[in-house]
Amino acid sequence: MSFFDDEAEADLSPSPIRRPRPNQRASSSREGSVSASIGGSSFMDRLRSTVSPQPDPRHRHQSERSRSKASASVYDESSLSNYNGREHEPGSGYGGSLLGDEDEDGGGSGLDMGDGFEGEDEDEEEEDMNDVKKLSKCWVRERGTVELGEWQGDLIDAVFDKLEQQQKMVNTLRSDPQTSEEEHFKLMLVQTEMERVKFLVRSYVRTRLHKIEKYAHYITLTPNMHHLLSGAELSHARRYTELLHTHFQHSVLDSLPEWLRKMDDTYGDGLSMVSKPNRNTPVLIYCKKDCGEITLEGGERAALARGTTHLVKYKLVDRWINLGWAEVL
Amino acid sequence: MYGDLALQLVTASHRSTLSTTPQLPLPKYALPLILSICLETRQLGQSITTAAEQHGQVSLSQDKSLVCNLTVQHLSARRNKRCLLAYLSTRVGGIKERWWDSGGSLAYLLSPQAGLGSGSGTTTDMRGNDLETNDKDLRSNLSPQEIDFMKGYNNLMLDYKSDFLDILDLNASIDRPPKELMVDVRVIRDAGEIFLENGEKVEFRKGERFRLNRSSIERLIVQGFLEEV
Repeated sequence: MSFFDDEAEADLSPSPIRRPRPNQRASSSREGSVSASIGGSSFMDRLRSTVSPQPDPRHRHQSERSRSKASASVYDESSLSNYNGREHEPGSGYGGSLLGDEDEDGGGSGLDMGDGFEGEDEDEEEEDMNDVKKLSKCWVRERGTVELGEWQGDLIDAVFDKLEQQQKMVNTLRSDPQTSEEEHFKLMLVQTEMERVKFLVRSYVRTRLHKIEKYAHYITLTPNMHHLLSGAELSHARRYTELLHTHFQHSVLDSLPEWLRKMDDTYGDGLSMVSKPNRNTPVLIYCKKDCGEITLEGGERAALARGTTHLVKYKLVDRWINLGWAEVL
Repeated sequence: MYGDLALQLVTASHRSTLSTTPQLPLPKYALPLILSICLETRQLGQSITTAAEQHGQVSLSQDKSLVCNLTVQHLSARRNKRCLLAYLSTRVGGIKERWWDSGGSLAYLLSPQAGLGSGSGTTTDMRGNDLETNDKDLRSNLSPQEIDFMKGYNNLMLDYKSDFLDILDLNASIDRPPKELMVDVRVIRDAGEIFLENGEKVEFRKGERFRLNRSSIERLIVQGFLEEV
């Protein structure tokens, strides 16, 4: 719950209504978080005292973080019913609830997209996004496309760092006998959120692993793709290919005539033994910018205007996806 | 006819993948069938080489029936190879799926069989029969090469996983995002004494109920020792 930017929270607290919004829920949540940060102030003080004294800037950073943590937790508490209600909505399904969660923390900047507001400040949004939000974007994208995206090493590292810090703080507070019942409840919410973030990372990593194993041979044979993978992933791809081939060799290929033992043949109909991502798979995209026109298979032309949603073949729009102009849903 | 056996192999393999929910036990490795397909392919290869040698270059370009004959044999041989590999890779998929389903525990996947072998009768009696038969079969249904593959895969994943291990366990479930920190569980199989993440020691005896941190006992749920209430 506490990975939202310190910035966003900092400028939110003094002037709670930064951007008036017609959305009822958003404004009520704003109130919730304000009262929360007031209520959480003693919590913050206590946390400050538990963290061993540190150089000033670091200290400030920490306390800010903890305040946002406290406020977020209380906020969650106040809107728990609301949040639970949404979880059961059939539409919001899988990633929906997670994303929704983050929307509320980020001071509402994410609501623009979630609720279909076409933002007045889309560029600002990019910078404002906190790590978890970025991660969930990458995760959605990774799950939505057939091709391997770029490995978000820095992002993952950042998230891991924060998780570790958070864990330390939670441990300190939990073992502190002064922590009250209510604060324990807040800590529980914080931990739950940590578990949810971990889930996100896990799912992201495993989605990638699945793709890597599926196209392992292709990846090892295509040097252009190597920069998309982390070192560990690349060596995994190599070793997996080797393992699979050894398995095939030992099981059947060794007992076939020699000219049939290769693993990278191409059949007469042009089908290769090395499987590649099928770039004809459709993707659902949302255009964040005007992406011009594309020519469909039948010679038809389709305009990808800003703010529209399309279901098209991946190879037709991969440029825009890679540029970040279009977003996979 | 050439390729009949291979067809039999792939259709059987295809059928076994059709019902994934609930997951059927992996069918037995079709060793006899595979051996006869390999034999057929070798014979095809033999006949192609001898035919080519007998007739030499000249007749190859003139004798249409010979060319036709060789082409058919060649294609059947390739087709056989393709079917064999398709069969193997479907099974590899199944093996990996089971590996992930079991929370990445190779010992757990292969152990019930070993447990039976050592003759510890009391423990086996107390375990759920359902799971027991299912798992017991896995080992006997795999070919030695497949077991090797599984071990290799396990090592590979352990290596990969170790980078993340201090923060998270990659093997934990990714079915749906966690909603609660704690979870109510009932013990359905004895798991003995287990040290949890926070250093607490819990003894799990069949029929007892606990309320514990989800992350620390996730693995036991996956492996069928505990059941969510």
